[in-house]
Amino acid sequence: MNSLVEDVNAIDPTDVMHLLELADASPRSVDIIDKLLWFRLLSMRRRLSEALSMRETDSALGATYRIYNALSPTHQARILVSSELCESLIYLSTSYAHRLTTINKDEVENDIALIHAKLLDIVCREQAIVDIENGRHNYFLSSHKTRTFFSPLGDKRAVANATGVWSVQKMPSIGGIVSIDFDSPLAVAHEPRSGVLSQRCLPLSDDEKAAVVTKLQSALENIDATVPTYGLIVRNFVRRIIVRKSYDVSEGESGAERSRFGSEHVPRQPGSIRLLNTHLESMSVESCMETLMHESTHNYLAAWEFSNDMFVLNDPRNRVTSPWSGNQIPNSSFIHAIFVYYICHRLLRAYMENLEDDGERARKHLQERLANFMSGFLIRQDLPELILTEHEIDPTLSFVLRQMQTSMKQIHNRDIYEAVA
Amino acid sequence: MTVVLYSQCNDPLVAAIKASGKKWLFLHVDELLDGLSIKPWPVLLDLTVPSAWKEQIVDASVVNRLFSFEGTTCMARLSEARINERWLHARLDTLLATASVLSHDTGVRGVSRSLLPLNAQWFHMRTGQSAVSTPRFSYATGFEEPDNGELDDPMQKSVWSLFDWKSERHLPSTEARRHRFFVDRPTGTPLVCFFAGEQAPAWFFPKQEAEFDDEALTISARTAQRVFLSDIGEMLLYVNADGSLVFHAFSPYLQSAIRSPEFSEYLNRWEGPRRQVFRDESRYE
Repeated sequence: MNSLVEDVNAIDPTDVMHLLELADASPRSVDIIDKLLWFRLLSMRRRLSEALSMRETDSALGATYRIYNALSPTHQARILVSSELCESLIYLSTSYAHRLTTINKDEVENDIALIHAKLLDIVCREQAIVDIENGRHNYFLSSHKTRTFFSPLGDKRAVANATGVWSVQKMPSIGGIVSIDFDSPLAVAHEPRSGVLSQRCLPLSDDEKAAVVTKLQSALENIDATVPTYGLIVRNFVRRIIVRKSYDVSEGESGAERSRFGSEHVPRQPGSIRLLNTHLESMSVESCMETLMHESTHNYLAAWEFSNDMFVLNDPRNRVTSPWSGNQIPNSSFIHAIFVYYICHRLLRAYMENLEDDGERARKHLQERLANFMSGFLIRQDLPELILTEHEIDPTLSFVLRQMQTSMKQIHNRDIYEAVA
Repeated sequence: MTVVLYSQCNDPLVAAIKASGKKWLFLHVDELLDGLSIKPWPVLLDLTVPSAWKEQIVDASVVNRLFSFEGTTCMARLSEARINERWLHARLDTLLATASVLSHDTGVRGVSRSLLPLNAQWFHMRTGQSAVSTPRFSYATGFEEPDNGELDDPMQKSVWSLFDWKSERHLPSTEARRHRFFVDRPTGTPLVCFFAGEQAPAWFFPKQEAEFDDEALTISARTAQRVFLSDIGEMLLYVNADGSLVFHAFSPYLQSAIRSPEFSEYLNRWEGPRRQVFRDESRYE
């Protein structure tokens, strides 16, 4: 009997149903998150080990292997959960696949060498920070020509003073674990295809930085207090929040009002999210809560997809017209959107119910957002029916998406019933 | 009972059916105005449907022509209250769900299967065994450069524009720069096909005539009825030199079909939607 009960309750990290359980803040969320994180850690270790299996033929991979293995399990894990490593491994497997088909052999070999060097750089930076913290000599430091670098996780910065003595600074964080990154190379990079990182990069003053951290900390505390499971999702699946400033209040109202705020998550960097102009006062704590939850949901879904399979294969030619925005979006973004709006609705609704009486401005804003989240679920069509793909969709995934739509319709019908009664 | 629910006063189908003398019931969405009220969150929009309407629609055969509420008084009221038209569709869905047979899907464009953008129309015709081919196209993401390598004569189009196959005159500025959509400019002879119910599809050549595979045309019309959930509608195809057909666009509006001298007579033979076209749900079960 016991074994039967255990089977029924077993958490299978490949089962999409657990994603719905987390969205519904199930009492066993902690166990599910724990299982998903271990699964992700092991999956990253397997991918790194696959990449390093070529070390006999490449000196950079050989060095990466030796340095990584000399690190303690904690520091190995810090590397494995960093979005820098994940992105490099994705680029590497793309380049390996490209190698088989390309006619431009030199270009792809150069790309592969650069990624191997990047892997070495990642482990060297983690090792160097450990050595600085323990007062040990490190070869990487003596050959490092710049006076500063960041840990792969983005939570620590090593700085050399005027006399060349290195020290480690901890970056600001929220929830005790999620780093706020204003100025690492990743944060100041220009990415033409990114909605946030394609914007100009203005330096934030110390006061602006402090205000951003305080605001995001309040947002996370509100999430913790409203739906504790959601706070756990943020703290376990997001490690780094990149904040970009592209607009300064001194520029007056002439700046492009609509493009001032923005946020994004990039699937190749699970664990990182990017925010635009969070320093502005008009970005309220409630908006930060939504943004943080929105992007964190993408992160937990992306982490699941990275450890398992993509929910659906994307074909840029086949897109779904979003019932929320009316825009044509990729199939995977649409699946993410269903989770995002479901979760944000639950969070903001519960938060609004606990608002003090004087929170009228916030209440009005929240009601507008809740109505928007709800509207896309109220269509006659089953949401999974809108996905355009010639490939089979996991029936459990379809069930989960349909279940969220059914729940939202039930909430709305109950609201209407109560309003009439 | 056959009921036509419509929103545009110049709807070609409504005018044609009225002229035909059919004793169908015509209901304009603005007749619902008295029952429409703006409410605070979470209801937002309340619709009290007159009981006469309810009785007429329940178990009826309904032709849903609520493709857009643009220009209606209902829409003006929604816009004033800053409520998206999706909410009116949601309220009307409850009513339409009581019909026994429905032609044309519900919802805003892109959500309704009867109002899909071109790439999605082609997807459903391709996967729906339509016996006709669909155009080659490229669809860039964001600001990226379109990959038109496989196109012989690329022309930029709006994914929403069903006409303009020589050069696009309805390209919104948003689509001009982002998510650029290119198709192969058609080379064959344009052919307009319209269909209603189970009778054989009708067709005409708006320009010169050409020989074509009429069996393929019949199959593609049946496919269009099924995949676009439209008992009645029209398609634009191009006839290749070898007589094969390329499906270009489906529309439930019938703006081209009314130009055919046969249209009135063809419509007279239509008894209204008589069989439910079910969605292809097997994929998800």
